[in-house]
Amino acid sequence: MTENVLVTRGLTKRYGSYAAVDHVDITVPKGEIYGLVGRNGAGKTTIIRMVASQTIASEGEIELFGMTEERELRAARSRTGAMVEIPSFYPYLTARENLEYYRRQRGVAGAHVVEDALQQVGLADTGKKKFKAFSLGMKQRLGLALALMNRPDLLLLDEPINGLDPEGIVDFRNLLLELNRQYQTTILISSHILSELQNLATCYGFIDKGRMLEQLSAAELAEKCRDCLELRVGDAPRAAAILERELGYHDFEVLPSGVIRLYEGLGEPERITRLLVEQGISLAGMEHRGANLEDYFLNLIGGVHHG
Amino acid sequence: MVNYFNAECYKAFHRKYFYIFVAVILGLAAAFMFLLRVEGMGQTETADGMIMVQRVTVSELVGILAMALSIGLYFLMIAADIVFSDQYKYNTLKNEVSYGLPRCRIYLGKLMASALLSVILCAVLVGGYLGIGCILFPAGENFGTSLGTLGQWLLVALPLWLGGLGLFHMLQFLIRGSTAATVVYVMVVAFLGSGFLELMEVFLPGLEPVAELVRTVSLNTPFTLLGKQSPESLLGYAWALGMGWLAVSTAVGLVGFHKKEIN
Repeated sequence: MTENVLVTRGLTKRYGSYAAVDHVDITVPKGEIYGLVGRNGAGKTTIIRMVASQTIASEGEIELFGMTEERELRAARSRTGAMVEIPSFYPYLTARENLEYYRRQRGVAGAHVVEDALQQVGLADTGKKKFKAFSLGMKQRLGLALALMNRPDLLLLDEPINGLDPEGIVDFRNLLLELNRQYQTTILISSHILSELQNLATCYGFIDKGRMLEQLSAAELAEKCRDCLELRVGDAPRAAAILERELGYHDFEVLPSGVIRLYEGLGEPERITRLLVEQGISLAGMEHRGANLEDYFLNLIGGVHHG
Repeated sequence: MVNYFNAECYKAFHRKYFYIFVAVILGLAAAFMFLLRVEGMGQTETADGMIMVQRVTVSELVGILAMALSIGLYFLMIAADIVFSDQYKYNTLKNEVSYGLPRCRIYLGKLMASALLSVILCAVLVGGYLGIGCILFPAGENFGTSLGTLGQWLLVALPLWLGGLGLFHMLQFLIRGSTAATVVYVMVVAFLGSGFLELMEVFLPGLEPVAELVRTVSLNTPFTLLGKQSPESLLGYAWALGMGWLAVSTAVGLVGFHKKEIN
């Protein structure tokens, strides 16, 4: 049985009558990198903030490492590392002093963990430079160092690559993949840079207007995003049988809407058209389709919205 | 709690703020005493027309200090501010709650660290003041007695300062913005003293019982009584009043902070 690190049930956050998050169910299995996908204001940050206890849920339940009671949840949160929105530290302290402060506060043993965390994110040589003089990228790295300092089992990352330069993004991605591979660290990451998310995530949750639209694995997404010929025909089951019998195609799916998605014979649209017409099947349209995460998300929410 | 307290002390003593504040206050005290040494406390003319400069002793400096103990109600804001460190401006509280630290521990940990820092500040400033005084002036005949009285006055002042600290701490946690918290604190402490009562007497002369109640619960009242009553007679009142303010403000602060959104 799959062990789940994080489960939310009916998680809701209301501000007055407005529901920023509306009965969201999320399941993050152990060892997965869960990409939370949604537009600005969709509710991604609010979900992560509720999990991290920065805001209190109006309704619903959070289960973290199997714990649901408030006291147990607090203990469970010590196994997490969180980086929510822009990292916040004391501006008059250096990177090392800031981490040392939190190390003492959290009772993390061994002063070397500060040095290790700074090494890990490439901030070991910042010396006496105060946090207030850091660039946004350096601040992001320090935020990640804090999240990693206690070697967490679950990382909560909200828009973590904002402000990172291209090299920083690659380093960051490799670091997360390494943590996930080496220590089985589970990661919940939200980002609106979907191409980057696609390089990392092993499962996805698509959220819009505070509601969870769909959760699926990267394999399922890849399956749904495969290149195909989409045929809109009058009698889809009969057309599918003809394609199978006459052309030997087996890799297709028949959708309830009368659409056939054909994953082979992509270079033979004329042949397919001719065959179906000869067999008396009315063909309303044929389209070559393929999607990436961005296309899939936009299709899911019903096209590009303009605020 | 020990870890939290340890971390707060680490942060406080890594700020220049603390050292600059101590240096400025001691510098001002030194300048004041230097002027006293040059000018004396006043001049009197003797019967034969001689001008006598009244020389100052450390005993008299102790008396001046005792009269100024109510200033501690405002100095404690510095200690609390060093520890609280503009949490809402820098959004650093989110690092603490997201790690699962109980909000109660966060609140009380910072309160304890502020209290410790206040005591250290008090010891350094009083010690520094007396130290500079001992270098510049003779001890005086009643030096030992004066020090004993100062100790008793400090015992009266300590709970009142703690009560003020509890109130300021609560305001810092509940009001986003250190300036607003400071303004409200100063208004409560200063206004609930003489200003409010004078206004009540002018505009609401029939509400004398309310004015009396306000006078009783004002943190300033025991300080105004220090010159009129012996410190021993004020000890019980001062401790009950100070601990009352500390307990009530801490309870209100904990409840408010428990529900607070952390951005």
